[in-house]
Formats: sequence, structure tokens, C-alpha cells
Amino acid sequence: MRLKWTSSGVFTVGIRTGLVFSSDNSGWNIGQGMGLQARIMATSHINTEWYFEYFHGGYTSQGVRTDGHIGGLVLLYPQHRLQRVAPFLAVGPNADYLKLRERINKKNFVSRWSLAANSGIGMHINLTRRSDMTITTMYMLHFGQELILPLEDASVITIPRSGSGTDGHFIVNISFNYKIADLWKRLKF
Amino acid sequence: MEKIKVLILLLLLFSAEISVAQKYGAAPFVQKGLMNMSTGLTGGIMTFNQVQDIYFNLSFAYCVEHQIGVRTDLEVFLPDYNFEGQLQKNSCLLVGPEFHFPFGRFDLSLIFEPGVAFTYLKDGAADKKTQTEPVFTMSLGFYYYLFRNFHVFTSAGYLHGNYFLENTDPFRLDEIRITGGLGINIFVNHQEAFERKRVKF
Repeated sequence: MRLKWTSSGVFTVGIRTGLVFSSDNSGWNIGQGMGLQARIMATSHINTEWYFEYFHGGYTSQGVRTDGHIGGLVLLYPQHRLQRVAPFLAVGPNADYLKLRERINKKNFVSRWSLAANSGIGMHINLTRRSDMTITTMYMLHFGQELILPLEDASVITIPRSGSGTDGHFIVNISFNYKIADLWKRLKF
Repeated sequence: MEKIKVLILLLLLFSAEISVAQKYGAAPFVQKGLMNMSTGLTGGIMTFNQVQDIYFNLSFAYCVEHQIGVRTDLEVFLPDYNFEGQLQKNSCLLVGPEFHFPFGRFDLSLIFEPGVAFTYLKDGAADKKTQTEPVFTMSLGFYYYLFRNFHVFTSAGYLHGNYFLENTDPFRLDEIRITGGLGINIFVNHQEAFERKRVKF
């Protein structure tokens, strides 16, 4: 791939896998997930990323938490020109689906859709000119209502309303991406 | 007499293979545009449960660059219904990158594949629904290419995942998987895609 003028318009697709770390009063809970993503380069310093991801993991000793995210990110590159290792800042909104169920009873669950925003840092490791591996670490904050799951033993599991401390979660993702086309045709492949 | 015939056939096969190998020399066989389709059997040993599993494996891989490929694996679980404690369903679909380190007709590859497992344990849930769980696997593959269009392969890897059944603790899907099989390969896309035709949007 020869860069004729600028990398603007380069369309990339990829697959991601990751871990989500959410906290409750008893400590940290780890979920595992996977997803798909696409990127469209806006300018040489700004990239946009569009993704879908799904996480599943335990939440407290009595609950199971499922998270689905559909969203977008803006990636900001401080480097003058993208190099082998390209760090970036990421920020963006997303729609979030959260389902909380009791471990011993699948039919006992509560769920909600909400908006969320995430922000963090990451880096591309450009393996070749067309393929890269990307590692990101982000914090996602949900803007949803409180979620209360009543349990069989009369206790409850709660996910508090946004801004109440433990609503958000950290997400660490690893993705593999491949540049498949130049949408504005400024590159000559 | 039959044995001699078989021996002659084997000698002819290997001499043809050696001549093909000499023709291509020590240059790596794995190139951009190589498409592999393989089938094989996978044996699994679960690390947190005293269970062994067998899978029928179908895989497809395509080298998008000289040393980098995209690979997908479908591992169809073959359950033993008399095996106490074994899952009833545990097939999985994996997609991810494959990094090749070829030498001549040999190829060592590093495979990193996230995916989903379709799991079900009869005693683990009140309903009969198969549950979809995210998993990921890291494997080391070893290929040997025969002639122009065939290969044999073996791989060993580790799969990580959790199945949240109706229990206080999840069923850990962590497993060491060893695969062996054979497949066919063809070279496609000899020209750069964008040299053939400009894409119009």
C-alpha cells in the first residue's frame, strides 16, 4: 500500500477480545468478552472506531453480569506521523445493555438499556502497513437508572445510579485489525 | 507381492515430493494469498475438571500478508453421553489472526483466536437452552506442505472461558487442546486486489 497523499479515509475492520473489571462492595469482578470493530480514518491525527462487544462474568458471589456495548470512539494520535507503535487517546459515547441475573436461578434477572461514555488510552502496534494489533484500556461510565436484583435469600444485588461510585467499569481490549480499503481513494494500494 | 507394490508406490510418492521441494528450494511456501482449508480431530483435557473431550475440527485460513493470516475454526463437540460430568454441548466458533514463521515447506504459526462456545450441561440448568459464552484461545500450530495443494498440521493450545450455569460457581471451560489433521491449500489473489479494479463507492 503506497500512501499517496494522506491516510484519511482508510477503512479498517477487526476483531477484539477483552476483560472487564467492575467493582462492588465485596471487591473486583472480572468478565470476559469479544466483539467486532471497524475504523474510518478522518485525518492523519484523528481516527474513528465503531464497535460492538459483549462481556459475560460473575458479579458478586451471587450474581452474573452480562454487558453489551454498541458505540463509537474518536482516537486522537499525538504523533506527527503514525509509526510502528502509535499511542492514542480515546473518547466516545455508546449504548449499553446490562443484564444481571442470580447465579442459581437464570429466570431471576433484571436488565436495562442506557447510554454510557468511555475514555482511555491505547496503542496500535503496526505489524505491517495494513495490519495492526491494538491494546486499549478504558473506563466506561453508565448513565442509567439503579438496577436492583432481589435474591431468593431476601438480600439484593444493586448496580447504583450513575455517579454513585461503582456504576462504571474498566475495560481492557486487545484487537487485531486489517486495512481493507480507502473510502475517499486518496491512497493507491 | 502386495507389500512390494505399496513400497514402490510410497517411493514414487516421496521422490515426487522431493523433486517438488527441490523445485521450490528453501524459499518459504507460505506466501500472501495462500488459502488453507483443513479438517482434523481435536483432543481436549480440561484443566479444572477431570474430563477429556473430543472435537471434530474444521478450519479456514487466508494469508492476507506474507506472514499474517486470518483464521477461523469450527470445533464440533463429540459428546460421550456415558461420561459422568462431561458437558452435553461445547462446540465453539473461533476467529482471529495467525502469525506464520515459515521455513521452506515447514510453517510454525502462532494463533490467537477469540470466539464463542455453545455450552450446555444437563444437570446445570433448569431450562434446556444452550448458552453462548465468550472464550479465547492461544495455540501453536505446525504445518508441513506436501506438493502444491496439500498439507498436514498439528496444533496445541489453551482455551479459556467460563460457563455460568445455574450454580454458585461457574463451570470452567479451560482446556488444553491438541489437534491433528490434513487439508488442502490453494494460492488465490495473485494480483493485488486494487490493481485489478478500482473500488467505486
